Amino acid sequence: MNSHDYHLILGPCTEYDFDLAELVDGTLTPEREPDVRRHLRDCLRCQRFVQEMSAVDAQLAATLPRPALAADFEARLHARIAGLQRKPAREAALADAQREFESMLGTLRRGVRLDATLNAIAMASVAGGVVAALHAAAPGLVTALGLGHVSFTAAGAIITLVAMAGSFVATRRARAGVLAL
Amino acid sequence: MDGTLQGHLAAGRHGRAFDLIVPEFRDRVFRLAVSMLKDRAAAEDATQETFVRVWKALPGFDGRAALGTWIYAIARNTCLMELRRRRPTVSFDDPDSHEAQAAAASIATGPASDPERDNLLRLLETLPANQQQAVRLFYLEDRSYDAVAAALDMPLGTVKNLLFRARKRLMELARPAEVEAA
Repeated sequence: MNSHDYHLILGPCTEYDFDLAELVDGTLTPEREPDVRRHLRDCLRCQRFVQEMSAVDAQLAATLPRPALAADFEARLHARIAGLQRKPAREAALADAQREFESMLGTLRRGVRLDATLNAIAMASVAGGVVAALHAAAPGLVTALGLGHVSFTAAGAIITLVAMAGSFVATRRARAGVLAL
Repeated sequence: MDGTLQGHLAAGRHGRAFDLIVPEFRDRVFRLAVSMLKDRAAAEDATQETFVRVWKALPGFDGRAALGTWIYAIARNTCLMELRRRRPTVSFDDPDSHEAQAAAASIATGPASDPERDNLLRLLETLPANQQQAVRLFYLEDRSYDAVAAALDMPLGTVKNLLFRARKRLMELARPAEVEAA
């Protein structure tokens, strides 16, 4: 082993090594620099360290890649942000349309319910009228059917109610089918 | 410029403030992203994402932290999220992994095969992640300790110590071959 290797293995003086790195980087304080340079003049180990550190520093500076942003970086960024700015406006318009649609649907639903109710009342009136007309026009029919007046009236009421319910359901289902409610 | 920027921020003119922030910080954020992600394309994506987040959060910026500190924090978080997302497939802790080598090579801009350069990059990959990052950022930032300390939100002394240990270790790692040659 020659003296060159000996210096490599021992390394720099520990009380100066950090300062020597700063000396290489040019950031050593003016207060500290004279003492460090004085030591460096007489210490082969530290001289070797400075040489090595300078070499590594130069090699890193030359070797490490220094990529740059693409030329269209800002254009792409602003396009992306413009898209984000448009998004809330688009979302607000969609929300308005959705609210309008729901409101219209509500009106239609109420219309269907009213329609079905009126149809049911009309159907019940017709059924009730038919029963009443039968009773008035052919009182003998009640006796012929073997029914008392109370039973005939009850049967008439049941027919009226069934007609009313049937009409309501049929109307509602027919409208619901068309409107997909 | 900073006064104008602060003026826009104080007046709530966030769009105009943002227009000044991007050119002021884009390269610094990009260099930080490169030092963390070690991949040019990923770093550019992270830089885009950082500024989108800055744009979204700017109305809530209260000025308690310096603007640069705030932007760097967003950038670091964005890069950390990207690293977390990659973790199942890429391990930078294992310098010999194919992915780590590919990532190191992906930011290469020099000649395809330079043994000395490749060797130095390979040795750098063997250092702890924080030392690697400090070294990369130090040289990307034209050897500015202050810029590294600001970007990594570390005290100046910590940055100097990281860089000292990293370069000393690189010297030691490169030495055996040199001693054998002697």
